[in-house]
Amino acid sequence: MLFFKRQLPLAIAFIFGLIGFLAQYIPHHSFEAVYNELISWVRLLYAFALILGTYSLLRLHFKRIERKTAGYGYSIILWIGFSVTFAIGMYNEGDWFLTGQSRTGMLMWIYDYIFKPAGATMFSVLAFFIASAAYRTFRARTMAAGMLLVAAIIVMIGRIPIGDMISEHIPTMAMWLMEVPNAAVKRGIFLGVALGVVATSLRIIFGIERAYLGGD
Amino acid sequence: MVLKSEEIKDLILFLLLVALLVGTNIYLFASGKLEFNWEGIGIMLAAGITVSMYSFLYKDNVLFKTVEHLYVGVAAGYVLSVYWFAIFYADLIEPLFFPPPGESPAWYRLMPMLLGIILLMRVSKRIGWISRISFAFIMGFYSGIAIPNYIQTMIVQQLHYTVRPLFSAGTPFEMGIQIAFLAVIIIYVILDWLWLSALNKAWVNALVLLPFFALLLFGIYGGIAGINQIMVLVGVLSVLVYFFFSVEHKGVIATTSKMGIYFLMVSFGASFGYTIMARMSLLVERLEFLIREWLQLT
Amino acid sequence: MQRETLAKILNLDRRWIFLMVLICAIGARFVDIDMQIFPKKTVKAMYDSIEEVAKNKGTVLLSMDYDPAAKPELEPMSRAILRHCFSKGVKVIGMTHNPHGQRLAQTVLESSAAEFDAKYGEDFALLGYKAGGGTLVINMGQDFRDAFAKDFANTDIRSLPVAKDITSLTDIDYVISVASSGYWEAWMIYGHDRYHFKFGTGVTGVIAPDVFPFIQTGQVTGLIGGLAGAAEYETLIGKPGIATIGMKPQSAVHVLLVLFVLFGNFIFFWDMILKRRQEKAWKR
Repeated sequence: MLFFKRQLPLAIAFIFGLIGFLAQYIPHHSFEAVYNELISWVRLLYAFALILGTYSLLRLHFKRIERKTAGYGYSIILWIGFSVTFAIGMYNEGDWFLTGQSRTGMLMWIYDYIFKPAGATMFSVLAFFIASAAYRTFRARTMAAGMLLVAAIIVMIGRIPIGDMISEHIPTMAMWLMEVPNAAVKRGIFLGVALGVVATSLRIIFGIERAYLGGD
Repeated sequence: MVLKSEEIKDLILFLLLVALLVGTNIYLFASGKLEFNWEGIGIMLAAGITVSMYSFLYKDNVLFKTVEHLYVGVAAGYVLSVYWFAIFYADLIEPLFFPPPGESPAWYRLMPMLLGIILLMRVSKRIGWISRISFAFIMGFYSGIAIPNYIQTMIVQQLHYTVRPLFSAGTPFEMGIQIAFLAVIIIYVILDWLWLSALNKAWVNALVLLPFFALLLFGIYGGIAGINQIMVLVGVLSVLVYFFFSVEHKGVIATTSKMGIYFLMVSFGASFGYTIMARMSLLVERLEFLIREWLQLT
Repeated sequence: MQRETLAKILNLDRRWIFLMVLICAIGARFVDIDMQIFPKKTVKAMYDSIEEVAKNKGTVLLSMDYDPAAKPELEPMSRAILRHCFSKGVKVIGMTHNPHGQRLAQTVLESSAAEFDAKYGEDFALLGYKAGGGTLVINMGQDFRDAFAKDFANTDIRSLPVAKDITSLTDIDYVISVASSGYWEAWMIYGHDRYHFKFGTGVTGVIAPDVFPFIQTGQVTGLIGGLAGAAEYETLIGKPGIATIGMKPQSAVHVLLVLFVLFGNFIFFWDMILKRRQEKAWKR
């Protein structure tokens, strides 16, 4: 049983990791055909993995309703929102779910007038909190913090039309900050990130990294 | 139930908000600014959702929590519908069971379907272990394709640009500026290593760095490309040294690392400025929706 | 001023700050001031690339990889790009990596096309959403029709003149990813460097600083960063839109925030000076 739970998955990760790696260097048409097919498989499996995320969310709220924890009424609202939307989606304006998705209809109405405004507003609330933080917490206590604030102010003013109205040097300086010191730093960070990705990928392929398998 | 004065104030404000929303919508429909059709009702609903979410800025309240949970539920329902039509039906069900006339069923799609169903077994405590096969396939294969692509894009191409001739061709004066700029940086590193870091006086640091800033500004406004190339090289190296924790940060390493911190602060400041711009843009658009589409003030 | 007063000013209830931001943003919207927008070279690079595609009567693949949370910043740039393409007769193939973005892509594509009487199937098409990120990009590069056999309305792409000759990403003249998260990276890492198509990107302000290293290396040709970038693009195409209108309140709030930072630091340092004087006085 341990073979199926541990050795087999690690062997699969190794074999297909090797295939994925070698495919970049073997232009032979048979190998390419296998590679193309495997790429499709991975792409399709992503969708199944995304369902797991949605399932977790719904299960969490279902448990809250079951146990009648504090605020379970909101979980009922979540489930109603989900059920109605999904049912309307599957109804598909009368064509049901074994055909292409309708381009108009009730599902699109729900998207345009409930989902879209809620999603857009949710993150715009952050604008107010940033303003509050700018007043209450952004302090130039050290030279490094001071440099950060000066750079932030130059970029903030330089990126808007008022920067050009005050002086043409401000947008020039803002652009230089982005193109030179910022690009240099991001480059250094990306080099480190890439090395980390390569190292982690090798660890996954060789079975050293097993966290993705979950517990025993 | 006896309410405290703070709670009474909050309740009054909450009821005022609801009354304002209802009153505004009644006025908009009655005056004909909003038509009483699906679009008009939708705009009213969208405005209500927007204002309810902003009510959180005063205090967390029932309206906000209701809208928040409704949003999450609707998002889950919508996205599952999209998955079904765009992926499961279009790429699996239709090619397998409803192929176009004249085409045979795509039996090769049975394998990813089987792997997908195995992956979904993750939810079961008893046989959830079988999903490891599918996860191993995804993780292994994706790791394999990531390695050469990341090396090429993030390492080779980036290093190729960084490791370039330091000095750009130009007049002897421009060459002199570039050499002086590099020399000033090297001198600062040596001075900091031998003297400045022990002295720990900000004004002395600033004084020593004056030639650096002067040459930098001269290079930027004089259009000497080599200055930027030197800055990029120094920036990349110093940031890499800062993040290299396997060696103790002493002496020259400490100075280079300190330079890396300054570069990082400038970059984070620039990123922060852009982040503020991003967040403010979101607010601006929502207000534009309320002003233009709901209240129709412009 | 006493330290207690300074402390009260420093610890002002944040709801007053929220109110100031709101009044500033709404007030600036109604101020009549002419703001000149000067496009930056990264935005001009994307404009020039589309002009070049137009000269060769080519095709642009516009990947609208964003959701409603990023719509305020990214939809104006998608719209400006589409207006530019349709006005020049450039064919557009739309798609998205983001499942929440399919409807957004549909709305902006159809409304922009309607302004120029562009015909679906001949001048533009919407392929819709597919999962996969980097693997989707590779799939499109290896076999375009395997990735997208049908468009988002379940029509075979072989029956769409705009897409029927596309077999790989190498057949696309310019790929643009308008993205709110890492999708632009997936296009660049798994697409551009493998299949060598010209690639440009429009991203939110949060991500824009990350793109600059890749502009220098030529991996990204053209960058529109945030709402300001979208306003610059609208200026280039001569059609001011939502982004240009948004520059007034945006500018006002930026100035307000700078004042907040400066004022907060001023009060902070004043308080620090008073504190040091107090401590010196106690020591005596």
